[in-house]
Amino acid sequence: MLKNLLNVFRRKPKEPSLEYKIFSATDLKKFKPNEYVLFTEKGVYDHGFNLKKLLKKFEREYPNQKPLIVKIPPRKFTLT
Amino acid sequence: MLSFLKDLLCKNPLPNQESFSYINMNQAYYPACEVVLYKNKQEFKYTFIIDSGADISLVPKSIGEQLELKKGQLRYLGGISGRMGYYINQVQAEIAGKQFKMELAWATKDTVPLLLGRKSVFKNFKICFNEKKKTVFFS
Repeated sequence: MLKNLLNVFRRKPKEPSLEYKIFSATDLKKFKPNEYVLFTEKGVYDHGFNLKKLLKKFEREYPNQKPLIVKIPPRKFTLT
Repeated sequence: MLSFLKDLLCKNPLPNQESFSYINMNQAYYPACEVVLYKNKQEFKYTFIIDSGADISLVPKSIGEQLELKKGQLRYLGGISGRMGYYINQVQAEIAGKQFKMELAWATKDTVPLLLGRKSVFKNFKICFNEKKKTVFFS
């Protein structure tokens, strides 16, 4: 039983998408508050305040892909 | 004994778990996760900040427009940024490979972040925050 339990812990959990991994490793300081940032498997695609415009541009370039959309929170944002 | 097991589960994720690292913004770390929202068989990937203190999940105006959310009854909520209007919608969502119906507040402003609240989300998962490792586990 202990062996089975140890095997459960040895198995690797699911991992987030490559876009999320790139996003979490990116320094977000260079983006402005309230800005939208699009991430692809290659890195940051583009950023700006007009999401509609950004997505139209992305769809033209990569019609079969979906980016990870990130919104930079407002300057004084806090969860507390 | 129970606290030892809880600690063990947080340090050693189970195979059915998915872990997301915290994000560093405004010189602070916030728990976040990747959420897939479905609209007309199309999928859209977003990063939500997990707000366990929020009743409902929130999306800004532009995201709601992208998802073609409906403008039903206008409701108001009060928060740190003042009074803000929102519309309640239900969308198909996916977190850590698990699909469920998610209740979403579509804000009338664009100056709000994407927040993952408790309602219709937390009941589907066991969520474990590891502040030391700056990681959140969904299982």
